[in-house]
Amino acid sequence: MDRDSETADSPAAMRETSPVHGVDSVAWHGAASALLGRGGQPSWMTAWLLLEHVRAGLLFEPVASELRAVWVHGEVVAAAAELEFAGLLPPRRSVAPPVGKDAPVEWADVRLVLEAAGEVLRCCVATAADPLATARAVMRVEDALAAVDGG
Amino acid sequence: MADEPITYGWLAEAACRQAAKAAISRRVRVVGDEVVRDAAGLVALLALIGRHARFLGQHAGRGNVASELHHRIETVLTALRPLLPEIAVSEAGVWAAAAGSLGAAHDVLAAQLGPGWEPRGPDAVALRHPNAVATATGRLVGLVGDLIDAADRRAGDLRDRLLEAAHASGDPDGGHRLDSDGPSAVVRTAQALDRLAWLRSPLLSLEMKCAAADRCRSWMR
Repeated sequence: MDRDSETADSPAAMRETSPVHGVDSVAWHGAASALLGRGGQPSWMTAWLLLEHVRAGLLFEPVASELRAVWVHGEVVAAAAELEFAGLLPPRRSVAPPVGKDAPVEWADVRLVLEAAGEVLRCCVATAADPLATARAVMRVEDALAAVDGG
Repeated sequence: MADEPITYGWLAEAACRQAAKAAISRRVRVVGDEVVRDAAGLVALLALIGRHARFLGQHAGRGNVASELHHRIETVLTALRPLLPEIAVSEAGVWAAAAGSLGAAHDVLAAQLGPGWEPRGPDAVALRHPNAVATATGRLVGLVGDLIDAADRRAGDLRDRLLEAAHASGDPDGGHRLDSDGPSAVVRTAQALDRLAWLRSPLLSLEMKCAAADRCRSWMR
């Protein structure tokens, strides 16, 4: 593919610069701070966004090249899938992430976001339309945390 | 929430929420009786679900999903009963609240019927309707699914703690010796919890059958 022929906002170019693909740690940190500082009622959507952000964090080096990243990724995908199977409709578009600190994404950063996702989900069990699916998602997140710690 | 009428559906949903909370409750430490009681409580709730499923399926025609769920649960209970003591649902620890709500839901539905199964309330007719019974069973299937996940994690946790204890004592073979000396209560409990996994595959098929009846869900509310 001829990269030079793409415009700055073409889909391929967006993939290249998106924090989802592990190339912009500043954006990842910025989005992490915004998500962790998000107030209001705990909701599936907040939990889902945190889980998606964990997935994005797993793509950065040095995290990505460790075997535990595979295990954590599997559990995080399973947790998000529990919410989607139970009826969550994730947003199709995400807003541009705010700028964060200029530092590599470490396991401690990923763990912080993952832990927050688990806490939000835990709070959601009391109010969610499907508490059983929420509990299953909590269990997947706990397994993911165990995988992070197991490395 | 407090203004809502107490119906079968409301109580059954409350049982699901309480079971969900129990499933993610902070893990119990490996302290002999406490571990056994937690597992026995989980199994007591499973047994209650089985009895309720039998009630739901009694008059819903041959081969209905509620009767199948009851049969599957009974098979597993038979396999794990030698490994765990039976306790009353009121003593089921973190699982007691869910068991209480499900028991109340059962009573609400049972009160709709007379001693000769004659209808005495508006929900009685639903008990003869296979789709309505399938919808109520779908909720129980979800509940059992969470119990299986919780059992799976608790069993894994028990083994991890046994291994940690063995390593802490400085003998890497300690974990094996626990078994050959005669299974401890903890190992037996983990084995019992493992047997709940036998329900996983039949539950998937039951879940699909129940989902087909979802459009009749309002019948059981």
